[in-house]
Amino acid sequence: MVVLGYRENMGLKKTIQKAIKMASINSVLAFAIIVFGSWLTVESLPKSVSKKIQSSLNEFWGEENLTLHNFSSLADTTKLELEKNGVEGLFEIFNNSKNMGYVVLAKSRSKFDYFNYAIYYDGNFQIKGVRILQYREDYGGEIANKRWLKQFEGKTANSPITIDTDIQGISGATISYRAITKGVKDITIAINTLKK
Amino acid sequence: MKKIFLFAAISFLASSLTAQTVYTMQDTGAAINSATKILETSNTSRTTIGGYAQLDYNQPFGGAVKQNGVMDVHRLILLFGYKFSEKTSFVSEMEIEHVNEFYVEQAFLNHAISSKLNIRAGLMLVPMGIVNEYHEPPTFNGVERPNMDGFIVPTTWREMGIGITGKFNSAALRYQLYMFNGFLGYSNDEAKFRGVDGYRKGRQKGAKSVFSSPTFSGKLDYYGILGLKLGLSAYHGKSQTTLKNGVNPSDALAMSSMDSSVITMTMVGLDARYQIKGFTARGQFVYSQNENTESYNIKGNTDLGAALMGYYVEAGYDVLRLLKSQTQMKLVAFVRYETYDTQHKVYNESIKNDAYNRTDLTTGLSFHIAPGAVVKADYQYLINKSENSIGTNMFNMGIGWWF
Repeated sequence: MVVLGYRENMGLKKTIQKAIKMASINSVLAFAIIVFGSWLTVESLPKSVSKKIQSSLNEFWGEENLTLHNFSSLADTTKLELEKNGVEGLFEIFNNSKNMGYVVLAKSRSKFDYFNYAIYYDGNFQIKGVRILQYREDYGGEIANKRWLKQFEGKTANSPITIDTDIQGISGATISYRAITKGVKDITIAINTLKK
Repeated sequence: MKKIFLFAAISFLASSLTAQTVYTMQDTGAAINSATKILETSNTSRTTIGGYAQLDYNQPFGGAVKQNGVMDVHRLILLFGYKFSEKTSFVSEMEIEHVNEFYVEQAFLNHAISSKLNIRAGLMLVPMGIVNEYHEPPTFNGVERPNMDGFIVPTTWREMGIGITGKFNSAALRYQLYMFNGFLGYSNDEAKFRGVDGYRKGRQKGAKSVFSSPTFSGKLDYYGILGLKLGLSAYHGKSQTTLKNGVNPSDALAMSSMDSSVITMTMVGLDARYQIKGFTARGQFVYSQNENTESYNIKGNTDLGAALMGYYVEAGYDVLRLLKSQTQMKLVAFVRYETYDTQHKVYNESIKNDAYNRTDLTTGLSFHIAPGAVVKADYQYLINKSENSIGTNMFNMGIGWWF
């Protein structure tokens, strides 16, 4: 089953496109990749995830023509620090050639399983919003509620982002809300080092 | 471009987890490490091990006579979960009670079609009120669970069954719907339900459970208001009876005997949990109606109420807030008032026992040393409506954990 065998009449680009397409068809398995750690690229995002991100961009920026680009110049130390906090992808948001902000894709653990989420930052690494991309377990999924996630909006690396103080908890979702709060805090601090 | 190629390669290799693919991968050289890592991590992260425990010291005091206290390893639970695929998983909780009683508290297979629809089957918790589902010691105040979550809702209430669950995040609703095996109300010529503790002795817990008719259970949770969670639960069905076994439907006497050994129960629960800053509050109301209690009580020579009712309200505050220090520790001072009556209604006043109409006042401290580890102490004043009730004083201490 050498699926990736190079065939002259197909061309490398086509092979890759087909590979990506097939990978994204099976979003389940594509998500397995997200869960089990590779740095994501715009091209490798499952369609369902791209769609969710696009709709969040529209929601948070109120603009239609925003595009995602891979963040190219990431220092290894920053990358490591981000990975340590569950980050799997970092993208820049552009309006034509103007930087509008950043998107971080990260994962964290609920009681039995991983969940994936996205943090949206403006150009100064202030949080525009947080969205759950995929929550797998039955218990604790309340953190996906937008009203709850709204608490992160406007936070920066200098905000305390402390559990139960400025981020209100959710009964019955203790492990998950603690996990995402810690994740957002640590990632926001780590990513702030990119500030020019 | 090379990166994309590698990712595509990894996608494919991961999407067909066969030995053959692993070899193919090795042929491609550079992909080995990350792809091998994928396979390895997927294996380790598939298994979840966890557990919780509740260890108590209960000391009654202040009565006319001296009384011994009890120190007990009340519950020690080991949790195992395994993920067979992205959508299919298994959850189990094995429980040791009082050191030498072994139970299975949950064991079910869950298949997630989407976050809106999971199908699950096995031994599962009946969703009723707060504590039956969320019973890990760090999640509730007080050394012991609220007493109505023992006398009215017989926690830990679990039965075999099948059901669906899911969430609608836009509406902030979580639902659960199940078909369960019911309580065993009658077996070996003995009625299991009693006035003193309602359905408690009828729980089958999945141990060679007798099945004579299905019961239905559901819960709706609303979490659309920040800090607030509201729950509405319902349970309806007939109790199970061993007298069904071997009955010839044309045998009127045996049929009527079987009918008398069964009650039809309808239980409804309302619950609320609220938290803001260091303040927490919760409350629960449960009402359960039983039909056919007259025949049942006469047949089984017992005193089950025609309706059971109970509620509690509780408020707590994390006093470490006042110190304004950055700490993960919490010291929650709380007070809880609960009242519950296992004979809220009776078909005949002659069986009514006012001692079953109870009121408890509990106040104490929960010291959360770290998230998941708690040391508790509380004082309880327990009184009932019988004429000669003088009230019991209890001092409880306990430790609990959950990971």
